[in-house]
Amino acid sequence: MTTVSAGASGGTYTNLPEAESVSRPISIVGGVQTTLYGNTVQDIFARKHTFTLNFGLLTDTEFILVKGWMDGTNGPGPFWLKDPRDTANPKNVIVLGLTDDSPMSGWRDGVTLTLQEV
Amino acid sequence: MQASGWDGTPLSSGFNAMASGYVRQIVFKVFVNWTRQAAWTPNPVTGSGTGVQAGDDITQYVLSMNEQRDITGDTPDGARLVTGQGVASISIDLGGSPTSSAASGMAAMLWSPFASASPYYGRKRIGAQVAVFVGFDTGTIASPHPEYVTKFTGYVRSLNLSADNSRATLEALDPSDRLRQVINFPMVLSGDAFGIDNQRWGMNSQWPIDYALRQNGYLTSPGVRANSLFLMTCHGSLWPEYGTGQDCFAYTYADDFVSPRLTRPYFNDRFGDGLGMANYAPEVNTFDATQRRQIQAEYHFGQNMRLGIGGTATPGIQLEFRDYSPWLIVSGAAGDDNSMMDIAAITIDPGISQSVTIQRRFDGKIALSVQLDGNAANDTVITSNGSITNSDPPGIYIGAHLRLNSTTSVTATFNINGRIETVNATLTIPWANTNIGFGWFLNYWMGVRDIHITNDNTPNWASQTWNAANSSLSEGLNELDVLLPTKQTEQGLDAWSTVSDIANAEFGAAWFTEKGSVLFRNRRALLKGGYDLALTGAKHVKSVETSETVDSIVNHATAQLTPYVVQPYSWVWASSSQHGLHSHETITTRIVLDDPAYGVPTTFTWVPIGGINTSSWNGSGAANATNGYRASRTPEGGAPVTNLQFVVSVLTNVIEVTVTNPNAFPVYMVSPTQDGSGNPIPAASVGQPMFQVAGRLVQAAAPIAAVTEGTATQQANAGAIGVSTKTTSQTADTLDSTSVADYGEQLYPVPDSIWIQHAESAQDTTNELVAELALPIPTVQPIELVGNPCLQLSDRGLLDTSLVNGLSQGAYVVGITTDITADPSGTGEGGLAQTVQARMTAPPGAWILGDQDYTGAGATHSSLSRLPDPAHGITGTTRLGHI
Repeated sequence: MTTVSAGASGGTYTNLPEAESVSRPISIVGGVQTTLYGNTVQDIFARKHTFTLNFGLLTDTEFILVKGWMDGTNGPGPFWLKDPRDTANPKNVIVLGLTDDSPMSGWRDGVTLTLQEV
Repeated sequence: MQASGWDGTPLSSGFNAMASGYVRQIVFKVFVNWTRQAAWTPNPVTGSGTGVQAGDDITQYVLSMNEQRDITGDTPDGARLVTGQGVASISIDLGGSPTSSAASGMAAMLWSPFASASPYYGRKRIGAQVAVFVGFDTGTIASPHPEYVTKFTGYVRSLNLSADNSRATLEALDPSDRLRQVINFPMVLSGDAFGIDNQRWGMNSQWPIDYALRQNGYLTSPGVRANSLFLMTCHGSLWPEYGTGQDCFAYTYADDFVSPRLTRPYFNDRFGDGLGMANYAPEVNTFDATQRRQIQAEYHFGQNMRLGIGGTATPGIQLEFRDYSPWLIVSGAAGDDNSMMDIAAITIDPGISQSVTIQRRFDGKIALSVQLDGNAANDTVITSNGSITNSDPPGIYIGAHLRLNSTTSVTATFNINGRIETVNATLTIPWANTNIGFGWFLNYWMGVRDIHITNDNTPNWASQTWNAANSSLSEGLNELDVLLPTKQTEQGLDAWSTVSDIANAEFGAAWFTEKGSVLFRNRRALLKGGYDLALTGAKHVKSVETSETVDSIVNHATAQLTPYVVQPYSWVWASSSQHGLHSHETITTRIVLDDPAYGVPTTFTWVPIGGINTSSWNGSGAANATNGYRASRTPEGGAPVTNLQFVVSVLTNVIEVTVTNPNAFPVYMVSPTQDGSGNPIPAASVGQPMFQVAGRLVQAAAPIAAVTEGTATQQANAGAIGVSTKTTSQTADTLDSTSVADYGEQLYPVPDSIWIQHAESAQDTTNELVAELALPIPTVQPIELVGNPCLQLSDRGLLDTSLVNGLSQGAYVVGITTDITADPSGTGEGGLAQTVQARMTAPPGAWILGDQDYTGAGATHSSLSRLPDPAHGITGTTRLGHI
């Protein structure tokens, strides 16, 4: 179970709905510059986990729970994310985005929550 | 290029490799001295440092940064020579806390001046010191090894906050923003044309630049201390910064070893008699408990003293005491910031133990102790404590503190050995009750950076805080005949404006380095030198634009100069009103002259019948010059009074005369009916004011427009004593007829400046301007670069984009914009990027359009490459027309 806390390093965690899939790639924060002769230079400021949580069918209640981390209901962030694969090391994250492709009323489908390590 | 890190440690090879690498781990730190700690040295590696308080490190809030450094000046747009003053500013976007989800961590609260919960609430935010460090991490994630160079030092200029997008912008300017103290120069008549008192101080523009900076704490060499008696900086003149000109002559024999119109003072072998302190020590009258005289002299040898390098592996300077075999190694190659040398000090105290001790390490870098007993076992080798770095430039300091009892003399001899030159210096200290001699015998010419004499009563090196120099100055190219103070009736210029004006007048440039030091570089220094780095199209250059424009050509330059004249002795002021003094009253009269007066006498003489023959004061009679007065017991002229007492204080164009009436009756400073001997004074004078001051007015030349057209002639001897009328101004004029024929006349009048005084300097200026600018040398700007935090203004780079445009030439940097931005995905634009403005350091190696005289490589058509086809450019531009 993925849990999220709005408190400082720990605090009270709230369980998120069970995600169908969670991807955890490490992203590079930086930029790529291309020289005149066509070579590229990769500048790296940091390498950070990006957590993408894909949810299946969510009830409105569950969706509001997820949405609360995006719209400021739970504060401005950053938050603490406890990944079930690594519960011993909660990650300090910010919410990058929330998508909701569902046309249904009462149910939500295709909800994706993207979080990035601070 | 910055060759060393923020703390002077040489940058590692890994750092330099990463700077030119294809994958770069960038690190940066931003600190603000919110609490205004006096001693504040942030350490970017640890995040702490001397004086650094919690919250000073604001790196975690930084979203992006943009830093700009530019030299701006008066030369034409596109001209190869860019001069003037530099300004650096930085803009830092700040967000909220990355670790706190509390409302107080939001940027709109964190940076708000109204939010009391913010840790920065109530701070003196504006004006706080800012330090920015940028570098690379050459380690691994598991074992990081960040190395930083200082990228910016300055002060907060503004802090703006947008509450709606929750973002703040902090803007800071370099320390020039703080150099707003009005500078009032001492009055120096330095031109040898004046020949006053046979004094030939020599002065070039370096001296006033140095003086203005020193008044603001920017020191090229150690400054005046509490116990200073005399300090001659030698930075462009022998005129002392502290002490009097008479001191200088008495103790340095300046007229023996200073050549006329010197550009930099040098000791030579005529200085074999040494620095004479024969008349000095007795005046000090400082004795310690055992009645030994105390005096301390310090020499700072200039960075131009290219003493040898000990070897490629251990570069350094060796100082050897010939007879006693201790030695000193000072590591160092020329650095960009710290021109002050590490220091060794010598204490000679024969009254105690016949010992020589070089005991002090300066800046924590050198420690040395030498025993003079000849027993090698007692010798202590000077050692480095490991912190000597290659930021320390050549140059060396030698100080001596002498303490002698009445029966002892000592001679110490030492060498300064180097790869190229050897300096032998002999220190001889004979004792006599009224005479202490002290000298260095130098058998080769050697730049002396300053001479400093103090009456410190103990060898005080250990207690002195002589910080590393924060100023480095080129030799000035404008010789100055006169240094005039700001008139008391005028608003003076602040220090930085003054420095900028002086630099502009000779087409040099002054700016602040990343570390907050001041650099002044003359026009020759900007254009000459080797390459600091290579910028290639493969690794560094992202784009480059070149342009040729007629605007870059100057083939006719003129400069109007302002010579000064020193008028003969005469009355410079006479009272037009009656001054009355009550019995025993003292009054002070403040006299403000339009022009400064030189040589105002401090004595007053009762003016005899017939007046004083002022013409007798000139020539050999200067010492007879005197101020004059008459006084009477009644305002309409009664019995004479001849015993008024005067004190004269001269503040250049302001003269204060304090008059005291010692009598028990009122006195009026008017002509009485008779003089003190009973001779009648002419009736027309009786009752008329008689209170006048003598001196020699120093006046600028009259504008050339005041001279009837067609009759103006240049006066070669402008400023000569005895010229009683103002001279005309002069114009230096240089024209390149070949360039005029090719491109038409492109006239550039050098802006008028009071700092252009000397005909030779002005002519040099116009000559060199035309020499540099008569051909249409292309400019290469802007150049977009993969950023390198070490790049600095005036760096010379070998720019090689030859595969694209044939360009393989040197250029020097006159503007740098550095962007540090991040794309969250890491795949878009972002990272450490720079846009550089640059000028060529030399004409192109190929041909120049229209230059028929060029005979170098590529001059003939047959040797030219095929003209490039624009459709075959690297981007494969699509043609619009038919092939």
